[in-house]
Amino acid sequence: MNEYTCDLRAAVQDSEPATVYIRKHRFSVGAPLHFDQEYPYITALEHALGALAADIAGGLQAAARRHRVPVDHIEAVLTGRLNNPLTYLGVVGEEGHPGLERVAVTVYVSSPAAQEEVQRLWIETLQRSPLVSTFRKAVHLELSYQIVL
Amino acid sequence: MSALPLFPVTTVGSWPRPPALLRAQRLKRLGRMSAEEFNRLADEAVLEALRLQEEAGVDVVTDGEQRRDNFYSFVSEKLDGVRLMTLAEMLDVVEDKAGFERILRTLDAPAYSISTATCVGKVRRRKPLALDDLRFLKRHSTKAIKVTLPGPYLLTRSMYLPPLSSEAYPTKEDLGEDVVQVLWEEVQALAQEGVDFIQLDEPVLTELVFSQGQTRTFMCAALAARKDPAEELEFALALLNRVVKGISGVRIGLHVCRGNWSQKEETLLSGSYHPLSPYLKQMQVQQLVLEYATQRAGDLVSFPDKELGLGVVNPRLERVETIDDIRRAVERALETYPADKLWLNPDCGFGTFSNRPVSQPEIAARKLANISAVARLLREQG
Repeated sequence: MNEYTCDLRAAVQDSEPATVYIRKHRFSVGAPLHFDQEYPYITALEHALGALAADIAGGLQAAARRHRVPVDHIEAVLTGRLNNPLTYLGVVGEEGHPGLERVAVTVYVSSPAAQEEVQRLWIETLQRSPLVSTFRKAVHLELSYQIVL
Repeated sequence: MSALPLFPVTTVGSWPRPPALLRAQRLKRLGRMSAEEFNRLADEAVLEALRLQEEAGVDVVTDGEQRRDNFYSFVSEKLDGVRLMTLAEMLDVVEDKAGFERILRTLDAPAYSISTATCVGKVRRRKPLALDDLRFLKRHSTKAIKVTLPGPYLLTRSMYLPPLSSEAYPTKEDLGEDVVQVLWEEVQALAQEGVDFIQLDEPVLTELVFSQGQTRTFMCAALAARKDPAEELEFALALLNRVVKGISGVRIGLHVCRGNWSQKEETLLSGSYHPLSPYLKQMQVQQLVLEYATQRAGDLVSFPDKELGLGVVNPRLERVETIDDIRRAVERALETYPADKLWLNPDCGFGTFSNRPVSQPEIAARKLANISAVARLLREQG
């Protein structure tokens, strides 16, 4: 299989959120970006960053399974910084762009395996991650893991 | 009570757990290690913590809370109606998710690694909370012994999570009734067993007066809603005085700090104990164990009828306070307190949360050794 496409449809009617249809699933996506903590929908940016964190955490879990390395817990925390959020709002005179400038991901891992083994899984996870490969070309990515006893 | 010298030196309870014990805690939680195997490792860790305290010249020792995951959640193993839940499990039910996330970020810890005790039914004392720990320590030390227990307000507030608790207890105040009973039984049992000092930990009291309307600053308090601070303080006072009612033959202390879960001082609370003093004065305890080693603590407050467990070193700081630093702090306190009312201790524990100790054993031991050196100097001066 050297060709794979991801096909989906996003529809929005009078107001938010958009509905995304993919395979036999559907999910809602709110505004591209929102600054109100009480905003009721998950924004497009949050979906994208959540997907990246889940890609890495899930990828690590999958790598552990492939190599039969026992892992008790994996949890990723992510912080994404925009270049200039005011440009998203269209504030006159603001420079820069509304895109992500820096994304930092820390993955916590608890495993009885040796540190070297976890390190190998980590490297493989990043090499095989579709979203890490993609984000790396566009954003300054800081990726690290910590072993938690 | 064993005869104690002037300026008795003690700790505030927790001691950093060794890596093998941290692994064992996780395996026990996952059901992959038996209680017996865990206890064998914990016994070794307690003996090491004890050895380091004794070598440092500590007069009143603790077991370093080595068997506990943290200073309050361990009760879930001992009480009916209480379940240990990781913060990851609680994210779904916690009320202030954004505030909770901010605390987790500062802690630099995964939500799965920190557990909290949650009330899920009628709370009863199935096993003693600390009596077995006391008996173990008595078998291995001739020193006076301090046992730490979570205070009744801390336990009530941190364990009450309405979606899970309200079937058994319609209100937090209802839960408080049974928490008082559980702690009273434990304090009574410890006193009968001959413990020298019982310290009740109530760190959340400072949050009530220092962070009105601001971000919650205690992991253990982030779960339950606050009411009016004055009402809460009255509630806390009533609970504590009922826990110690009729107890005699043991020194009872109350520890109140401003947070001890991060080495980033700016994330911890600041402010003098003044706003708490009307309540602290009414608490029926002999000693107040208070933080005074950082600028955040403000002026020394006088509590004329009580002893002061004076915090003279910051457990979160890597730098070991010098003998001169500590001596100056004690001399300042002697302007307010008579010598026979002053005890010396760190500001707080060295390893509050097992996965995130705020210090290392060798640094903690050096800090205690310097406190002991100051105590000896002052005793020699008479």
